[in-house]
Amino acid sequence: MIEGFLLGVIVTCSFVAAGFFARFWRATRDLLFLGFAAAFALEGLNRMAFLFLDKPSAGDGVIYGVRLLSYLLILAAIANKNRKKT
Amino acid sequence: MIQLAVNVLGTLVAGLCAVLLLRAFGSVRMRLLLWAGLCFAGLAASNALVVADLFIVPDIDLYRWRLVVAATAMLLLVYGLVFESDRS
Amino acid sequence: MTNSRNEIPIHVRRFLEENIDTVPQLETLLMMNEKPDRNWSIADVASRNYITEQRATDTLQALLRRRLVVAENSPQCFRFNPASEDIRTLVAELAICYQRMLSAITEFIHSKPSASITEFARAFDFKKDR
Repeated sequence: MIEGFLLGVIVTCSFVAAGFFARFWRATRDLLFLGFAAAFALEGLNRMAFLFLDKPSAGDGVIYGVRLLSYLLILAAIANKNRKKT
Repeated sequence: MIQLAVNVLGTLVAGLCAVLLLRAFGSVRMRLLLWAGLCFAGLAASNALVVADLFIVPDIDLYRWRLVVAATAMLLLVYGLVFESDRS
Repeated sequence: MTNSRNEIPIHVRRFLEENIDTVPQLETLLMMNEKPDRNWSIADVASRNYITEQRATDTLQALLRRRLVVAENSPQCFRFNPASEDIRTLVAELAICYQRMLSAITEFIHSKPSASITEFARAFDFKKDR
């Protein structure tokens, strides 16, 4: 029960954070924020998948793949920020 | 093995974000950076706990603690975004 | 005559984009530019701009970070001292622009994303000079 509650907190906060970062992207046109928005949205959706699994310590390949993707999005956003010249 | 790799990467990425944000907070003192930095530090810790859970202390179940740390971290971020993101 | 954002000269606009987050920052900078030899305390800035001392402190810290002013420590006061002559000229031009197109410039400043957001993005920029 408590784990479900905690997952709910994480998922909700992830989507809220994604929303804020999406707004920041719209305001600044800085792709860094788009990267964070996508990463948090993806992780939020990903965590929701845990609802359908009992205790995902064994790890489902798709879940880890999506999580990997969200980390790569953040790295890509940071790398992109530092590659461009103003 | 993929679990280990993904979680180690997660620890490193979140750790990098935490370091960058907290360092920036050190010089600029805008509180959004503090809350975001603490969030990423917490997410790094949560990822590290997964590694510990699966590989270092497999007989102890850290699942709930992983979730507590991650949830706390995300709450800090949301607090910072809601109350500090419009400051100039 | 309607002032539009497009009338702000591009180099002045870029200066505003990169250095000025709030209207008090702009007005403090221009106020200090008028009397470049004077040392300003936080209380001076607060009373001249009708803002609180906390706001004045934040404003002066921001200008200090942008190297537009320098600080002395005892007693704590600030003086207009831009990092280069080009900037000094730019600020003088900004002062003239501000007189002619006050509403366009304040509107421009208010349309900028907050300093918290821009500093968040800057935290991930390895190229910046801090």
